[in-house]
Amino acid sequence: MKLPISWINEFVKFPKTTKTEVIVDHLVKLGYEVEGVEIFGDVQGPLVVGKVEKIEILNEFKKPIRYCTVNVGSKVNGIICGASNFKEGDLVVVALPGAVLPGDFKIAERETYGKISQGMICSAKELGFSDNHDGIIVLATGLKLGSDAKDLLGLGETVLDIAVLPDRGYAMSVRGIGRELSLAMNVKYIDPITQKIPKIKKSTKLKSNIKTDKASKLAVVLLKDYDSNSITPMFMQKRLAQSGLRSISLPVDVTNYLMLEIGQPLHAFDADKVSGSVQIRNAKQGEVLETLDHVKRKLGQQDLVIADTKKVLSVAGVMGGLESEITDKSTNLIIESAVFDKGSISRTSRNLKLPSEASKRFERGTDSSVNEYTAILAAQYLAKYGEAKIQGISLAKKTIKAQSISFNPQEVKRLIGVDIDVAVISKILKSLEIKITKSSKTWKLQPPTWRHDLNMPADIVEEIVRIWGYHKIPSRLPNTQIGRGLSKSQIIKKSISIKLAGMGANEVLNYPFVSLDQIESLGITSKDQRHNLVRLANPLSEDLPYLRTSLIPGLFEALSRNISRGADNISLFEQGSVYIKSNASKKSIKPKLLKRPSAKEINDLNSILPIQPKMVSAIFSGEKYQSGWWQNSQKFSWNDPIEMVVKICAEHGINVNLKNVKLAPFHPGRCAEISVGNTIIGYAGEFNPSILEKNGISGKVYGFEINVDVIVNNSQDKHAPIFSAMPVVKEDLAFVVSKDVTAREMTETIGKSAGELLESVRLFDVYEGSNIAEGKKSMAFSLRFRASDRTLNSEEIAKLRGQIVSAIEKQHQGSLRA
Amino acid sequence: MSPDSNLLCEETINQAVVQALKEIQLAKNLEELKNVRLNHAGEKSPIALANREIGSLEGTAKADAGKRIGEARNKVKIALDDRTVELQNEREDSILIAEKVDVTQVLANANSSSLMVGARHPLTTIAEHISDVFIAMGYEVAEGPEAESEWFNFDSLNISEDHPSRSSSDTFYVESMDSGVVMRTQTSPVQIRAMLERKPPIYVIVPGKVFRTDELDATHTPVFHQVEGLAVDKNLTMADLKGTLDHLAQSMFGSGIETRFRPSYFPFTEPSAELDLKCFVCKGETKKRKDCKTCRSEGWIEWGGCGMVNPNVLETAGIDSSKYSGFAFGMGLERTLMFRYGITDMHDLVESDIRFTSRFGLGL
Repeated sequence: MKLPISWINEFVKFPKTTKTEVIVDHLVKLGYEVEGVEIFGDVQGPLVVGKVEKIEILNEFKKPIRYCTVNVGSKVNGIICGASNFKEGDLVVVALPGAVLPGDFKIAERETYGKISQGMICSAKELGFSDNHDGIIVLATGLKLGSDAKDLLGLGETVLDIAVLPDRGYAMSVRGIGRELSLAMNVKYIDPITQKIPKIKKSTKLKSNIKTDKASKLAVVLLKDYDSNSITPMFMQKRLAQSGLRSISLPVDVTNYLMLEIGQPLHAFDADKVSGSVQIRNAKQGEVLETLDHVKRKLGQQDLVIADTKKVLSVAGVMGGLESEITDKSTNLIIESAVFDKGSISRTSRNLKLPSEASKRFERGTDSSVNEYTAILAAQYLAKYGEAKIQGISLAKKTIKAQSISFNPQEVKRLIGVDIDVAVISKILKSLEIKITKSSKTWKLQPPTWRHDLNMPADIVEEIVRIWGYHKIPSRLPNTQIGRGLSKSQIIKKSISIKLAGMGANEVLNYPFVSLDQIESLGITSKDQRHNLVRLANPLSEDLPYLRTSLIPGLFEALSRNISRGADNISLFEQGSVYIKSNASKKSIKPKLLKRPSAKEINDLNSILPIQPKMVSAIFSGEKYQSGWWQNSQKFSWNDPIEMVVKICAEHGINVNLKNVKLAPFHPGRCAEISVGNTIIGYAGEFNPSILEKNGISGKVYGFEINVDVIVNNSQDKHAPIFSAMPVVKEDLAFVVSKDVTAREMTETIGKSAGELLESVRLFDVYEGSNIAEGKKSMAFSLRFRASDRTLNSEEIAKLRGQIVSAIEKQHQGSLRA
Repeated sequence: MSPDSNLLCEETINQAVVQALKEIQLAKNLEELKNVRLNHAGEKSPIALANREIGSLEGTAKADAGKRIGEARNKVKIALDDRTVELQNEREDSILIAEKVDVTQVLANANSSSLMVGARHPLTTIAEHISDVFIAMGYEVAEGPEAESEWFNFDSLNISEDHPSRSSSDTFYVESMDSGVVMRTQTSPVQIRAMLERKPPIYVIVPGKVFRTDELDATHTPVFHQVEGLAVDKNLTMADLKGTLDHLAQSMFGSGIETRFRPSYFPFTEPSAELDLKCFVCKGETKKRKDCKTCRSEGWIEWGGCGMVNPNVLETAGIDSSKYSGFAFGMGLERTLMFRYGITDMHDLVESDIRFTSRFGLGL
């Protein structure tokens, strides 16, 4: 909200010399951010009042040009002018040679249209305070010729752009901001609604009524014989321009002016377009109104309208209708001024995507006691500046119960931690025009009609401290309880992240938005639970309307982006939620507020949510170790991601099972299902090259995606190992077995046959080819034996070897390789 | 005396020792020293030959000669051993010197060395840092779902049905506008969940991902991160809130940081405040402030919202608001990170470019 300081100063009596910074500082302390401080109309040099003494019309050009003789006080200048909305004898604003207008427009004496032009007669547009007034500014009579016009036009004045918090509708006016500022500055305040207004008799012709519970007051004033050629007085034009509103016509300007000054939005109708009584009612479902911006608006029952007996006139509190708009032919007018339910206006303005100056005020709540006053004041302005004759007023209202607040002054100390003297509290409340009825401990407080934000003791505490000074609140630390640090699941998540980064991967945080194409390009079919996509009702882009069911699409995209930016050998990981549509189609519930929801209600609230497992996924591409002067390169391989998962799980006490499976987007022959017991932890291996190609990625990529929640739930407490200091005996054994015997089967057989003296088994070579029969392979194991209490002798080792070899022969038809 | 007894005389033996020590020192390498050892400590060395003659002596003469020869042998042995070690060291040094490398090669290759170290996203690590500060004060880290019921995200937080933040131009709705499920627009629903799951005293810190329908630009992103704090206890006041946030500000930006409270409005707190930091670039000084881009010449930087938990919110979470009071605060992690590390464009935080993340390593 833009307001010139001079307007505020009319009602708040701080010295004119008060520095802007001081005012800004007070506003900020009160909770009003000042988003901008502007100097209005940046005009330099001589700008004076002149009188047009003679107009000579030059007709030899494309359009008639005026050569005017203008008395600028000390002398008379000849000035060329293209506009024609002024006559001889009018007072105008003259920019004399040497003046600089906004846009670095320098005025100099120059020859044009065959005459010497000594300056310029200015329009509002040229002075930078209106963008649609091409016409010359014609000033009121009685001004001194040659006097400075800058003050007169308010040029060079300071304008504040003040942000008003959403609960403080009362501050969206000179009246509201002025009251607050006067409190902070401790200077006299004149309430603008104490200006004198005439009494208006009840209208005999115009009736009004309220046919909804979403409005409480309506005042309509009928005016006749308005002179549609009337010009908005300069003081009003100036203040509207300073506040960033365009001057349109006297009736519209008057309503806007009073909205800014008092905070009550008004609307002016052409009375000849209104038939019957004026009423506030709910729109009928599907009712259509063409608004001032030439858009046909379809309304619903929740929308409030101002209507006459036959039709809708305006969307109440939001925007007027085109049909009843004031035109340059309107002579009979109706001023409408109402009090609406703030939520209703907010909803309508939001649904129609139509925020207006009026709706911004109504949705924050207006003063319920000034609608009649403001309507009359508007009528008075139209009578004074537009020759209109006031015909009468019609009022409708519903009684609103004023709610009082029971308040214990001790609440201030309880919530703020500061002892503010009761007398000070009392003084602050009175200064805010809150009525106090004191009984023993608690006070009964009655906030003024404009304070919709004061409903409970905590609201009152905020007001007291706001005026007392937020900056005076002391700083101290509470005696908190003693905590236990991170939970087990938090520790596991953190350690996985550190481990992956330590293994060379870079963490990324991708958006969760995906397309169906993206999911299907991974080879995920409708049978897969990752195809149960959750859709957003209002996605940012219709191209990406779903939520991810896997972290892999995001990682592929990040990989492509990094490759396109010239990176290679990229390893990435992400830890985060995926969202799986739950099959349960439950209806949403809304537990009652102000009491704890029941266990069933909490369960119902949770049951409508998508399933949101926490996953971690990583991808690896290119070289694990690069070649160079230090060593040869080593590429990533299908086993790397599987091994990482095995290690991650082992760190949390989980011994996993591995199984070859076919699962997109992995290579059908190179994908491991990783599980613990019957629970699947995730999948790892090499990605399917044709799927990578579909995703625009060339070369081999490896990776995994695992469910962290499963790891957390299956993690085991770690116990310190018991290890022997006796010497180890190492033994390498190679077996020739059928190709379909797995490493897991072999190690299991070795383990069982060797018993507890076997410390570890490592597969160090797998070989097929010459010397090995077709359909067979050689698997070489490195075994370590150790006893806890003695050195093993060669007889014992020979016996163990024999047990192993015979077990392999028996169970896998394998033979010891010579 | 037989002529051979000359071999045993003191002078001869002394000469043999002097000669041996001289040659030992002159040996240039281990091969030469091997010959010296043969000549002066071998079977045919003068001292060995003299030793053979001892048998022909008797009495004290025998004992004296034995002693003399023993000492001579010992001197030669020690000298030989010392010289051996010296020469061995010399030889090793020369080999290792030949193996000298250019250590600056490593810097010339810093981005592709064989030791690949990854990085965690700075948003993850700053969330951890903040959590650590609060864990040190006794807080627990609380979590909640990102796709959240509208009731937790709005209703329970005293946000009215008509509140503009519920509009589809601010909030992502899941499946349909009336499904009752939204992508949480704030970490505040976790406040309610935390209160429902615990009994006072409650001290929780909630870092998390939140969603709003903003297009990505230099300062906005539809998916961003907040950290939220909640304390519910007997006798908690706004002064405790101020102290807690001052402590956080100092932990994040150094002990010299200045803060201020400014009145504000949030449906779920009352009284509410905005927490500002004194601009750490211009320090709010009039002259420098004019051109300061960090605070846009305001001298202060808006950091987060806070306040005393609205009694309605406490009651909805089943907490007696006449017995307990609470405070809550929340701030954007992207903003915090941008201030702290001079990040000027939000794109860097969301584009997953490894050149950005790798700058931050495993922790901040």
